[in-house]
Amino acid sequence: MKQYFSYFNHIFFMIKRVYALDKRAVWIKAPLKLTAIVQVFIPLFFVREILTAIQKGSDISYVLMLVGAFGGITLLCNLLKELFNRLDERQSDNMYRLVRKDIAQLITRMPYYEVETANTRDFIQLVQNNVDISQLFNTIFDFFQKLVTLCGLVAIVITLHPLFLLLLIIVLLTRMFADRGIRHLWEKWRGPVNTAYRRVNYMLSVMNNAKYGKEIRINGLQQWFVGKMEDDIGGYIGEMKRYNAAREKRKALVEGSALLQECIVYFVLAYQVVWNHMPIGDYSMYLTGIIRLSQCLSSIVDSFSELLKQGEFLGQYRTLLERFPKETGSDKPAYEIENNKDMTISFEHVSFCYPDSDRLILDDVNFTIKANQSLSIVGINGAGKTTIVKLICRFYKPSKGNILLNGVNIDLINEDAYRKLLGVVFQDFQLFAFSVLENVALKSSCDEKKLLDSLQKSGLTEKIEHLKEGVHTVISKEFDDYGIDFSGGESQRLEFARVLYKESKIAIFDEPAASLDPVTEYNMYHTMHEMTENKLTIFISHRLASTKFTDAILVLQDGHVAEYGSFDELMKYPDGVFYNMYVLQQQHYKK
Amino acid sequence: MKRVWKDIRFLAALSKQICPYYLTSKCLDELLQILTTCIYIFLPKYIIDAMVEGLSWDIVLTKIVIFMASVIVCKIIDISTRTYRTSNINQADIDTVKHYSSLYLEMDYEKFETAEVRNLLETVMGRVRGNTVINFGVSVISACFQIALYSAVIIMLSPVLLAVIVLTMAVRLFVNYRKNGIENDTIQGFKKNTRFFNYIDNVTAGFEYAKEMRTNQADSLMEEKYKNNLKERYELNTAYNKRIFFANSLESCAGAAELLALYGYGSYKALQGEITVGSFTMYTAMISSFTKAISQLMSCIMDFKLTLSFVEKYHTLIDMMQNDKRKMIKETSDIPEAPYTFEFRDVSFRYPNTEKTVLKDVNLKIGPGEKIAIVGKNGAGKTTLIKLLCGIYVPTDGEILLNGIDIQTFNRKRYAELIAAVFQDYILFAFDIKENIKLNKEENEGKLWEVIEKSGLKEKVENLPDGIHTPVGKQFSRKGVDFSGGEKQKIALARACYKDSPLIIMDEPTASMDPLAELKLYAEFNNIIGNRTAIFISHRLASAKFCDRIIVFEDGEIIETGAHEMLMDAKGRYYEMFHLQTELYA
Repeated sequence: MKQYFSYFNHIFFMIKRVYALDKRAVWIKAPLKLTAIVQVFIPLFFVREILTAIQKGSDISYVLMLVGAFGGITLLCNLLKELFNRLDERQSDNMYRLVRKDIAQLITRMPYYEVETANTRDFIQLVQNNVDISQLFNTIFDFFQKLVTLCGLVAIVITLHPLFLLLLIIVLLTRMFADRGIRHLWEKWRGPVNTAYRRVNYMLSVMNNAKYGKEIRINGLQQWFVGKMEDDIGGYIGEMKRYNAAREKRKALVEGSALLQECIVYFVLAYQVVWNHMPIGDYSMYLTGIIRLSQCLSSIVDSFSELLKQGEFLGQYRTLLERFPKETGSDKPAYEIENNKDMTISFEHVSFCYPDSDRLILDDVNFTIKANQSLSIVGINGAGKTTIVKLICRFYKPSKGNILLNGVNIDLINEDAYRKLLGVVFQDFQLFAFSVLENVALKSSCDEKKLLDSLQKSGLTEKIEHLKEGVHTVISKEFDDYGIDFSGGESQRLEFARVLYKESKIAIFDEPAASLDPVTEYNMYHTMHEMTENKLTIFISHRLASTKFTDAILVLQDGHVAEYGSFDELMKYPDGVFYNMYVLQQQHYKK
Repeated sequence: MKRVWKDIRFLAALSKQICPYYLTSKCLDELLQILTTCIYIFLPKYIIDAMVEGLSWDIVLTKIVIFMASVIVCKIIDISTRTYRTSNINQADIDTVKHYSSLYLEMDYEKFETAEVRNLLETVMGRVRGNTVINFGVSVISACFQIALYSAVIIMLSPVLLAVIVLTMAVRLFVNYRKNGIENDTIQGFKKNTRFFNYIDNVTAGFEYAKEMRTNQADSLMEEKYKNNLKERYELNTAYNKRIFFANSLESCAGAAELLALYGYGSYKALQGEITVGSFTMYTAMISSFTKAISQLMSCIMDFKLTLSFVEKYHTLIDMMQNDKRKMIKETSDIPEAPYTFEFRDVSFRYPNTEKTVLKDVNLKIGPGEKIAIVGKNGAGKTTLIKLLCGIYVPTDGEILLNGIDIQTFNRKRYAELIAAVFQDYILFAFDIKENIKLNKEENEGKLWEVIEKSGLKEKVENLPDGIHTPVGKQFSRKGVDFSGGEKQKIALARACYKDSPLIIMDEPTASMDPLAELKLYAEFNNIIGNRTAIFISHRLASAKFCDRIIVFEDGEIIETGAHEMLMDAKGRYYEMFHLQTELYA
């Protein structure tokens, strides 16, 4: 019971939220449902009158007048309903989009570590797929419509005999009992069915994907893949079959009881006509009325189950919303830091392990990057380099120790202000399928001079000049048939341009030279040096040669700072980690 | 008309091929529906007539019993055959997907990689299915039967009435036709709009963009894009709904006319005493079923008409698949015996629908066991060369030969067995490590661990709780692991090694690896490659030193070739590039 109450609580919460997003969507529903209600009663009334008139042998003109009224009012009602229906369709679609946006924005407010966890991702996926708000709204109004219709119908049927109501309620209860059974069944089956479904979806999406298509063709994997897909689809169908078979018994119960009800109704009504001289008009009205009432009752139960189902997801949605509210009102004093000051970053005794694991990725890391310095972080895979970047970006909090920016713990700095300070190019960056201008400036219009300047500094001027639309050229053919695909190297340079345009005081580059050829790489490091002169810059690179361009080098090994110093300083130690790594790489370049 | 008949025969053959079992269950389905409808229309009349005529209670009861018994029998048949019918529908869907999988997987890559072709595939698969023509045929026959039945009944009442009904049905037909037209006109616009929404949703909430969105401030841009798209959609909706409103209103008018005609004439006749009250209720009950049958017929026909337009597209796709450049030359040759020599002879290449010549008159011979390095700037044509060698594109000019035979004449899959390629944009499946490495080859645990060790993954895999059964990525299970870029590359490398093919191609195999891992790879290079032929594309000139021969590419042409020392002595491009890279280490 308490559960139901909380569901309705969630539903009201949802209504309030949606009302805030799009009032019209709510108001259009009322007249729509009203006409639907009236539609049910028109035939009931008119058919009764017409049949009674016929049985009595009334005047033909009276009967024709009744028929005329019947036709006219029905038409009017239909036209009105259609009008409101159309208005509703348009508005519901609008609302659906607004709600999805709401959810998407919610997800942007979530901390990164939540997004990275599979658990949360599944959860988000579940919520996104199941919280169809426009559907919910319809169901709510539907529910009220049916409730009102129900009352009207009950008022009619009760004039026959109250016991009928009892009959209907018994059948209804049987139905609800069976529905509950079906719901419990679904709880049991939901896991395996969803997993099987996800696998099938994955296989279908792989089949439809060009990249996988290439791999499959090059390796001749067609048969192998089809075999796997058949297995997965077969598995899913099997699960569904078993689930449906289990459901059948309960459905049969429901339908059986409905039939029984029907028998009783026909019997009783006929009895009334034969023994109590009930007019045929009334017979027809009661028959239709009871059928409608029965339908109404069962669809109310459906609406109700639907509401409950939605209520459950709404609960989860609400939990998410309340955890990450729009205004990040934190009770900690939030510092603001201006982007034009010189930045110094310090790691003080920072240790870190990921939320679900015990393994220390970083172990008592201490270092300071002074203002306008550039730092290279090197080390083998898994040594913790990218983790340091993630910590600086505040995707995670250190398990121990502090990270300070100009002496202030970064955790205390206002998030938006902090973001403005950072310009990061990740190793697995993605460009947006918008124009070059929008990708660099992250606005739809911008200071063209500054834009061209950033493009020039990252070496893209020539490429842009060769494009027909220049900076308005759209990237990728996703939304524009004339869009251009940038190569790996060019994409990266666009990312650089983005960082430059942002003019942030801190710039971080994760493997900037990975897809570049030697000559370009060489030029890039030169340019980078210029690009980042007035910034605090961090490079993560496997190319040890790049370390000569930076003021300092941080060597990570097993989560510790193994060495720290400038290139010249570190090369003084032939036993050192850096020295050995460098010499090894250098050997291959000896003539 | 002849064309239509031909297409229907084609669809029928397709159904027979894909899901022959479907006909029975669909017929059963439809039969049950018709039976139930007719019982509810025709039998109650007798009950009412008996009551109005004042017949005895026994007689009335009998009629009720007959009525209810028929309903119950139908229901029992329905329930007992339901599982059978549903599973047939599901099975037909699967079998359709299976049928199309060959189109997806066998089609020329050149065509498959375009979004256009893939979208076409998706739409055609949605429409031209195994059960399409059966659904159509059975529904049409059922609708026609019902229409004939009801018409016959109404004609007995009055031929004039039937004429009225025919008129209103014509109006409905017209409305239906209009609505279909409206749908067709507007669907593309909506689809594009929806795609854009999905894209923005994915960017703001998707995992790939998560880091990006949290560091830069693309929020306002996304917000603006969203608002614009929303506005566009609202306008689309307004236009669409307006048109639908008028169409539906017209249909309502037709409905009202039917109602007036039937009720008006019916009551007139009933008052005259020419028809019984029971018959009156029967006629009026029939209107809705009559209407439904007609709209069922109309929507079936409309739907089918649309499907027919896709049949042509289906044939186009099949043609595309069968008449690709490759098949123009028949698959006449058998794969020759080892040792293998690959040769490019005067090969030029342009990507489809582009003007730029990516490869110009390339001549290159690669002998068995040779280790070749291909170096050059981005966009010089290196990766394209490899794609041509793998056979996923066909040269615009010139030929690629294996032991002197044009590779386009080989069976594609057999040729694929000769090459193991790790591209720069390789891709891993969401299956476990073992599957990702062995793919379609036979399982050999010893060999698996051998390649795992060779590619430097041994320690990592040993430390995983599920070992080689660990899924790659968290798509299917939480037990999956998100591997780092370097680790993924090692898995791809292991895959190539496991394949044991005569030729192995590696495109930037160490881009994501750290120096130590990279060095290990070079050190083990000969061990990993063995005496296979190897082609190595890399920007890191240091790796080129390990190869027997280096090919220098620039602007789609080979400008220098030779061993490292020779090229260094020649003091050409290679020397220049090497020199530059060395400077960074000196």
